[in-house]
Amino acid sequence: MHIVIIGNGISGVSVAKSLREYSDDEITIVSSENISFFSRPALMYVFMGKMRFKDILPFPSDYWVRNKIKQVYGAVKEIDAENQSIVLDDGGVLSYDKLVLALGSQPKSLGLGEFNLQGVQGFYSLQDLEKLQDSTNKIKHASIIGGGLIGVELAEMFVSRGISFTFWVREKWFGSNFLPQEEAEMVTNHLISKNINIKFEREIIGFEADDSNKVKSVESQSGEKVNSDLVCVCIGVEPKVDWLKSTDVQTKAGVLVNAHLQTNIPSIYAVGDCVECIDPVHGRKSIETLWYTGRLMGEYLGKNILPENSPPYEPGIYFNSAKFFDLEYQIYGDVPTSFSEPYGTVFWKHPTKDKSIRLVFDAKNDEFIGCCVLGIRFRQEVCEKWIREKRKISEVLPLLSEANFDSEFSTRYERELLDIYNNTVI
Amino acid sequence: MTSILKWSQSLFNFEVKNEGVWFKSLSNRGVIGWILALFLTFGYITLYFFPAWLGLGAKGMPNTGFIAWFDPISLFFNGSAASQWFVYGFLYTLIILIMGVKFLIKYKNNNYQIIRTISLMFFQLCFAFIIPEIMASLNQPAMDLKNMWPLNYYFFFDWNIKKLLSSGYFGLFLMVWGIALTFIISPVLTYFYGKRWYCSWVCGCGGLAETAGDPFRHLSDNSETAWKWERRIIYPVLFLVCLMTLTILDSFFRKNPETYWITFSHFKVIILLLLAGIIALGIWQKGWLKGVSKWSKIGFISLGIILFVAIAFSWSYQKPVLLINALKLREWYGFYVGAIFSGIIGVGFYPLMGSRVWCRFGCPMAAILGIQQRFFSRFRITVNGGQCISCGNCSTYCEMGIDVRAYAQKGENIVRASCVGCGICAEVCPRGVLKLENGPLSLEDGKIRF
Repeated sequence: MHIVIIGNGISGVSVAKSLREYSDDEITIVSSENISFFSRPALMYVFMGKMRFKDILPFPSDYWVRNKIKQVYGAVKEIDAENQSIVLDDGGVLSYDKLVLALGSQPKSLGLGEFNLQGVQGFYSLQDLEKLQDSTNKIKHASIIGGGLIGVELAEMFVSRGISFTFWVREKWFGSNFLPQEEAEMVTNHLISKNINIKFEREIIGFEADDSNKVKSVESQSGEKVNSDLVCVCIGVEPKVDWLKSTDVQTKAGVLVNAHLQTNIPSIYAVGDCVECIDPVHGRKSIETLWYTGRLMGEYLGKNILPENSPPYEPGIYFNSAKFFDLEYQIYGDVPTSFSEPYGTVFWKHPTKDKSIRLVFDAKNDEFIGCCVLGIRFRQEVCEKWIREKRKISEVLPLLSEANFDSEFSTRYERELLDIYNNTVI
Repeated sequence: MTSILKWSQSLFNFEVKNEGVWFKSLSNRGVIGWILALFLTFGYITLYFFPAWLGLGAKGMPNTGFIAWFDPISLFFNGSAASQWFVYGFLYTLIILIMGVKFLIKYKNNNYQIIRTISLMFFQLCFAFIIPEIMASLNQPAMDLKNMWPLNYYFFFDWNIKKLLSSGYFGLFLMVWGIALTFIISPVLTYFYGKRWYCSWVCGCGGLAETAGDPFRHLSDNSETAWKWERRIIYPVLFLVCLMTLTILDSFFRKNPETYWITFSHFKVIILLLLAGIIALGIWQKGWLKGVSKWSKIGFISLGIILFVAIAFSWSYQKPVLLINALKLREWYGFYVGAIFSGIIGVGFYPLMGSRVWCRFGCPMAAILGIQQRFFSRFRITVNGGQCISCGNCSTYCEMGIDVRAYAQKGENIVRASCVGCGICAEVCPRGVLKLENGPLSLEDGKIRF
């Protein structure tokens, strides 16, 4: 049996790794980005000079040979589902018994045709990093559009290299579309404390280019025009599935898959960012463009692609983490952005430092359903256990120190949170 | 003007966490890095072998030049003119204090780093520098109370034993303290806290590596090949220091078979029992050695048995143990390991191979503590569920060249002989995945696989 995987990001590589644990079948990974898997979230550290590119390769170079995972460098032009083969851009043909699409995603466009201009780019791929590094020494002023994780990463990167830039954010607070109000304010204040030029409540409505089609300035809805010879658009990502439209693989926003991550064609599967679940597990989005989701899907598929009657994909309890400059963020379970019925919440914030703890519970039955922390580390296993066991919030709070994962000798704040809860309940 | 201002700002902006280290000539093995490495290497060579070039006065003659600058300080502390070792100790301590302050500012948000670094500075200043100077000025044997055998390889040398045993109760105390440190205090502390209690909290070599060596920690090679060479070098050095100590003690007891309350026959019995105990442990261990390959186990046990027989034979024929010339071996070890490896290469190569070259490839103390840490300690680095994004900061900034990411991305706790517990992997992790912990005996923790 030959399993071909298109894409060697975390999703595709997780399929290959996990499959190798269960079978000796032939595995081939095809990628046009880089011959070997690298850590995408770490691209920023290469730009910042914290690591070299070879440092962000998670496996030693002989790993792939040792595990008999064949790597092919090239872009896939066509999928011939009838003959179970794919055609590469150099004309090579690979036939498969099972095909896994781990295509990833691509930066969303503002819909202003901005990616046709020179000097406008997203920050997603290795090629994006190379472009960025090329232009770094030539530019006078950059613009970052979009108040999401990539935007703040770019801001951190530019600060480290001393590049002057304007950071355009549509919302009133940074992260208000994925963080609760208090956390969004804290992150916003943290960004402001870094002395970066950040403009809130600005939507970009147009670009100006010079005669050679090179971007010159950006314009916001409030009428400001800022000269920028580099513009990074990072308003989110979308599944990279345009090229599949000509094949028989069914797509909508992403590759449509069933509960077994199988597409409409039984021998073709999909994992990671490019996936759109037809019937997502309760409480989860149909498209989750997250590193962790990609890995979990990959591990699931590697284990279950061969056996008959495999169980459906079960993403487990949601978790995610991020870092905004120096501020670490972790979330476990269900934490909405606002707390109307049936959500209840206990929130503690350090009076001076950037630290906060939030627990979320079901106001009807007091069951603990999620938590998020800023500037503090929590233990994933403990939080997951409490959520899975539907522990009561009053039971979880006194035990909270078990969940703490901060380094030794760190100041602890579980007591403060408990006091806040006791004061509000009585 | 503005560029000068910017440069001087960056010089004092320690908060910047490793940004641009791979762009700077000093920290990416560039020209400045090589110049510094050459400077340090030649500095050590001059200090060790040609101190006259630095102005050390020949017998009875006053110091001149560089060394003479330190005469007033030396006079203040111990009443005599500076020796090259006084100058070395003084500068070593000064650098740890200055770079320690820099380190404290850089990691001011992490209490573990703060307390650990203050501990290192304290032990260097008081235990390694001030207290021995006071002892010397009181005409007592001077000893660094934290420097234990086998890092302090001359502790069991005949001249040291004679010196200590001829210095009354204070000397006796030093003798007992030194033995207790190696055989009781250290194993107990390592059981509870891992080898970090010594290597990154107390030790002087660690003190310099953690402070002055911090800007070079990413230069430690973290490949599997480097790990292989680490084991190929460090354990033979441990073996050598044990062998050397054995031969020295053997010749010492041969000359004074009945002088002390431990006699030559006591000594023979102790050594043979110790060796037999180690062999028995290798054969009958239950699970401790489960990660060790079959062949290294067989090799280890047969080497032990051969040694046991050979030692017993040489003693039964009244010959020096293993027929080794103790003085030659001692000279050889002192020159190649004591001076060249731990001093010249250990520090001189900071800007080329990272800050822990000696600790990682050579230090016999680290080897012993490491073996205990790997098999019989509560210390481990815990991995937080599935939060790892395989970015590689931990592996890059591990001064011991441990590929931390290889474990973290599998969700496996890290129990490695070489880990000195500096805690920087946990500090540079952008997702809060790593934590240094003392839990239940780490090998009984179900999460560890080898």
